[in-house]
Amino acid sequence: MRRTRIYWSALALVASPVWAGDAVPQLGRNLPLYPAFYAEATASVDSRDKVFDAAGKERDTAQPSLPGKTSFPEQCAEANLIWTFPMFEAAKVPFFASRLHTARIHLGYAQTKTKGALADFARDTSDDSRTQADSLETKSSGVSDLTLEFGSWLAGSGNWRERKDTPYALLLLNGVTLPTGIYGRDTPANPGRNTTSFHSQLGLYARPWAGAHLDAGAGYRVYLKNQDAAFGLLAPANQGNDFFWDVSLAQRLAPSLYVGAFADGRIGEKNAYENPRFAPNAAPPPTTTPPSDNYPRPGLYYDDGTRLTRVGASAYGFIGQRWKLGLHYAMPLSGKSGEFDLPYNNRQPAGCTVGATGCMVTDGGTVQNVDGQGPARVFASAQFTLSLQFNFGQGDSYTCIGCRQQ
Amino acid sequence: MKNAFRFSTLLGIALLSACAPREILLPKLGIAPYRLADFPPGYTPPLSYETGQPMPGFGGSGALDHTPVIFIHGNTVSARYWLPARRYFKTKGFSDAGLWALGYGWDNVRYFDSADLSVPSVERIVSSVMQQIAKDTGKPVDQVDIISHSLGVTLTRQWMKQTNSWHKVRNFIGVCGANDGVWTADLYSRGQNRGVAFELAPGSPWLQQLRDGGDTPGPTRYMTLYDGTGRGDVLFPKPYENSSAMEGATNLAFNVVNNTWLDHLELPRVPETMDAMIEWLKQAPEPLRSATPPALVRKGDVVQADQPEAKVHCEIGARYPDARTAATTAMPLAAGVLTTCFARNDSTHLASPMARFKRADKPLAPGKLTVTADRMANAYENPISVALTASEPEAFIVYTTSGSKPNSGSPLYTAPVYVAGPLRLTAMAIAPDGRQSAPLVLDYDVSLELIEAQHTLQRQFDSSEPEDYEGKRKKGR
Amino acid sequence: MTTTKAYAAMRTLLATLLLSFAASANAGIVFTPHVSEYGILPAGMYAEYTLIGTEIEAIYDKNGDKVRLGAPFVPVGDSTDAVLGLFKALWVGNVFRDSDIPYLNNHAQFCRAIGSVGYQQNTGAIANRVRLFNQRPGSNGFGDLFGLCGIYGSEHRLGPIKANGLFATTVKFPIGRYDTRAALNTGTNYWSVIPQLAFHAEVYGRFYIDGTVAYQYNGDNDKPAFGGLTPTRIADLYNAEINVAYKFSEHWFADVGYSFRETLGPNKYDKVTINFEDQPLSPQSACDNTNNGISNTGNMLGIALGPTVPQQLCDNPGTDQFYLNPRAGPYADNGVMGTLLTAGVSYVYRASTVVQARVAKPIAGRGSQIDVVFDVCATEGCTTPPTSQVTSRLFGVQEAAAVSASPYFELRLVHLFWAP
Repeated sequence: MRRTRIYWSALALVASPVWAGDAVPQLGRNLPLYPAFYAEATASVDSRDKVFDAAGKERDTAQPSLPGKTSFPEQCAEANLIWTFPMFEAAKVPFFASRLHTARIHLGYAQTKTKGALADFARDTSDDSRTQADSLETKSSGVSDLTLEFGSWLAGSGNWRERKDTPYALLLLNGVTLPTGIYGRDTPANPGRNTTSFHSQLGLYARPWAGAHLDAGAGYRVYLKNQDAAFGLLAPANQGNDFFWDVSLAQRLAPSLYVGAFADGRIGEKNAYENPRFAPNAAPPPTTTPPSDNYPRPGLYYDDGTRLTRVGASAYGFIGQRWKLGLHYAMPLSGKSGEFDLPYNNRQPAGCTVGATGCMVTDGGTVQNVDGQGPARVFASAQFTLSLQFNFGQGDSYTCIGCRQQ
Repeated sequence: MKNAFRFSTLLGIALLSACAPREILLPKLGIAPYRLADFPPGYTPPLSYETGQPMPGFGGSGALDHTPVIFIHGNTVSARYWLPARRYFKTKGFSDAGLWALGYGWDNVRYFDSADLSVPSVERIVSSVMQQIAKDTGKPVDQVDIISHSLGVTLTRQWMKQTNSWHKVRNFIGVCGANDGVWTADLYSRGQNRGVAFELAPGSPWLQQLRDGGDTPGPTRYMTLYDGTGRGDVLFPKPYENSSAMEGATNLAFNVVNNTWLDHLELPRVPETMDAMIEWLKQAPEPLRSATPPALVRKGDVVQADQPEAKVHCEIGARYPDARTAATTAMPLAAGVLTTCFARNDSTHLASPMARFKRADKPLAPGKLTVTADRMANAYENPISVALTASEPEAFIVYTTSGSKPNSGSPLYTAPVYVAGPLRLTAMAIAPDGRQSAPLVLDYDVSLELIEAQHTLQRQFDSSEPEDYEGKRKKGR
Repeated sequence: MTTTKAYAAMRTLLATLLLSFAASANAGIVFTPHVSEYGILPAGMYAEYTLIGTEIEAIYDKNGDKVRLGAPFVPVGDSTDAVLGLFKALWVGNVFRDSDIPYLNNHAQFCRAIGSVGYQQNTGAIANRVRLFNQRPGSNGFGDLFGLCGIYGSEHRLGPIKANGLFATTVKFPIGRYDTRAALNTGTNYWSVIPQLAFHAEVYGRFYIDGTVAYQYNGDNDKPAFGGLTPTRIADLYNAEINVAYKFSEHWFADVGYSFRETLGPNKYDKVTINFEDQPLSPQSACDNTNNGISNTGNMLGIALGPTVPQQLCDNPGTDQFYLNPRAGPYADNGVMGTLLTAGVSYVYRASTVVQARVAKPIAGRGSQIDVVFDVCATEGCTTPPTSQVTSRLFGVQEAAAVSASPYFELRLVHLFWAP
């Protein structure tokens, strides 16, 4: 495991690719950087072997409903391309001409696995075929979702040509995440989410005292429907919209060296599960003659939403003046995963067509605390992230002082 | 692994954007990029001021019965651009020995420089061609004809002005020049080529300094040829359709006059336009090559030529005399008034450099004459204006921005000098009594490297960090 | 239910299940020319980012008729959704300039690489239907890589007309994400080589015309997707496109275009395996949906087996099972054809960046359909002779087979590095 982590960290440094579910807040993310092109690469590893269950209790497995331990280890790398630029300066377009703007592209690469009890369930081909639990998979790796963002500094960038320091800034950032990520319908953990989302956030940057950098932000994200919810539709078909926030403070200890602390979190509204196909923790069907089987009762089910609060520490070092290397440790403090109760039907004879003559359907009870998959999992495991940012230099940065306005 | 390969491929595509196959890949393969070097045996092309490499180009040798023609190309191309013109001119009776083009600048679109930086290259081109022809024919060459295109137009004008070389140019043809600016450089449209853009932005201070004293100074004949419709040449749409025209020149809006649709690259080198240029070139009398050019002399408070048959053309004040300026045998100097003159001999058709004269209207304070600037030599983040002051109020100041030493015919300081790119400002004060200050030499740079150094990633978090600016300028920026 | 109705039900059901998108995006709009696409561009490096989105609610069948996705087996309204992000790098220059190599020394060359990431999924009830076949409704991830090199022809002038040609060849490297179980894929799993002739003309300094003809040689796909409903032997195709733009000012352009593509000969299918995952099938249910004339919207299995299902199977619960098994092929379609009308506006920012928005509307097309023979058997895998056969007209899926009848939207950003 250690070697794997080292490998991924090294790969991210060299090749700069991928992306995790919860990226750590980076130093100066709301700072109106001078007009230029900046690239950032991150690599993160997360064992994802613990979750907060629906009651908020930390559990030593990612799948509390199953006996034994389950984990979804993930290694990610992400490439962030960040431009900062003025717009229509000479044209004096109201609002746009007087401040800096930013455009950001995020694209990543992730490797996810399912291990332990849930993987055993996925590999068990003796499940009822009608549940389609026979084709389940445990690995999914590849490109992740594509996020495009555009933002404008509402304050703090108006005098960017002259300023040497920026005491404060306020950034409005809007974005869309397109589900280009690899997504396996039969896999509980995927690099991609298979749903488009839109988000809007406000970010604040401030220098409370010399050598200190404060970034804080909050936003709201809206998810569209996932048309192909994963793992027997145990992943939400409609992920609950979420409110997210972050705050970080970094202090310069020595030239080129900063340390910081951060906290972030998100509060997700109820997730909706549509016609789940099975529940790994369902009881076996009753023993009858002829044989019976059972299946979840079709319907729309909801959990109570998700929540996560993390704290973490970061260390940043500048390599030369253009490279910024960061090492981050994020530790979840509290959270809540999505779980729901799923009523079952018994069917006799097994596999018969519901509604057909001779096919008898009876109440099969309710399976309690079915674990929602995908974004419904809120992990309690620590995340390590390595980040590297580079300043590529200028685009078109200075104006033609003295030129006649046309 | 396959996914990693896919991802790497995608990133590779993005990185390809940073490569230019010819300039980067060929040398890595051990292949020297091809160069046009169709020169006569024994000719050594001058080194480009920008690249330090021998200039590419063409030229010939042998008999020469006409004033040599030098073609000056525009931005992002090189001497090869004029090969069609060379072929056509030869069919019209021009000899190989009198058709020259050499490439300045970077010859690709990755690098750009300001016209100011290319002025020394033009000086080297003209000097080199004159010397080669003199060496080849055994007769000195005092004048050439210059046909320039696009950026080459304003560049050549700046060369003539900065080096006081109007007397070396018999005919000047500027095709599709941005004499009044070009829209791609205007404030709304400027691309990344800042040096050029700041110079050629419509209404830029650089264009204003080029225009100061008149569009067509000296004994040179001027012709412009351009689209004029606003539709043919994509660089000069309305309202810039007449940007190429100059006051005092023969201005030919070719597409307007001929109802044609020739574009920016066609206008200088299609037969119909070249016919018009050749006809105009041949209207000028051929200078007498073995003759000595006239010179201006001041005798007391009178300016005259040193040859009896030569006359002087003078203007009062800051304006340059030009071919339209009335000639006189002797120009009396009025008290306290600046007079600018050149001499021209109508027998030999040779002329002198431009020179300025001033007669004191009151006694001058004795002492050392100096000139000072209000901005120290340095690299600046934004364009600056440099004000010059002479220690003697009656003195006038001349300057150059091309590195050459100024003389009295150099650009006259009338307003702060605009510095939008790297240049060497050399200024000199000249008192009415003939005293000259020591040249004040100031190297300025409006530097992307400085901007980048001032705004490195680290300095944006900690501005107390020293700038990692080495004062080295990357080529073409 | 009558024979006609039963077969119609089956056709429509399977049409519902086997809809597609992928190719339409790639072959159609990706290469449809933009303003001055084939003009001699200034030498330099260009980067281009294109975002294409579509919601396909209808496709063309083999007769050129539009078929609404889902109808009549699922309520209309669901669709095939796709987003494609393209990254293009274009180099224009002349490696051979100033050399003695004739023609090459004075005709610029260009090379282009195109990579993509995409999202392509069926939605709602259509996605659910796909589950019956143990298939996946779509696939996300990288697309194929396109590499192109070419050379510009000479520029010619005739009065107000200025024109040039070019020749280029594109190679499609099938490195894109390809899931053999997916109804839609961002990759194709077969090579293509596409020689192309194109021209560009400017008229009166205001009109810009770009046109092209191309021939696409396609390799075979030995691993068809979605139960063999992507062709294994992909027909070559040719296409012709033209785009006319008008310059309102140096900053604003508008353009309209037309694109036509058609295969030469049929696509062929050799490895059809598409089948219901859960078998045996209940004859009563099947017969309820077919022989007994229950309305289509009441289907539970969603398959129409027609009168060739022996009536006694329906009437006798004691023989309550039978199996379907498709014949692998070969099958051939009628080839595919598609035409697009495009319209867009472009804004040139700072002489080095172009922002463009465009919509493409299919105006005619012909999709791939094949008549797949299913054995109806009493034993799993048809180890015993089939009791009968049914023929189902199924839609071919993905790039080589499906033709969308719904519009695309495109947002494009072109940036010239080191602009002159």
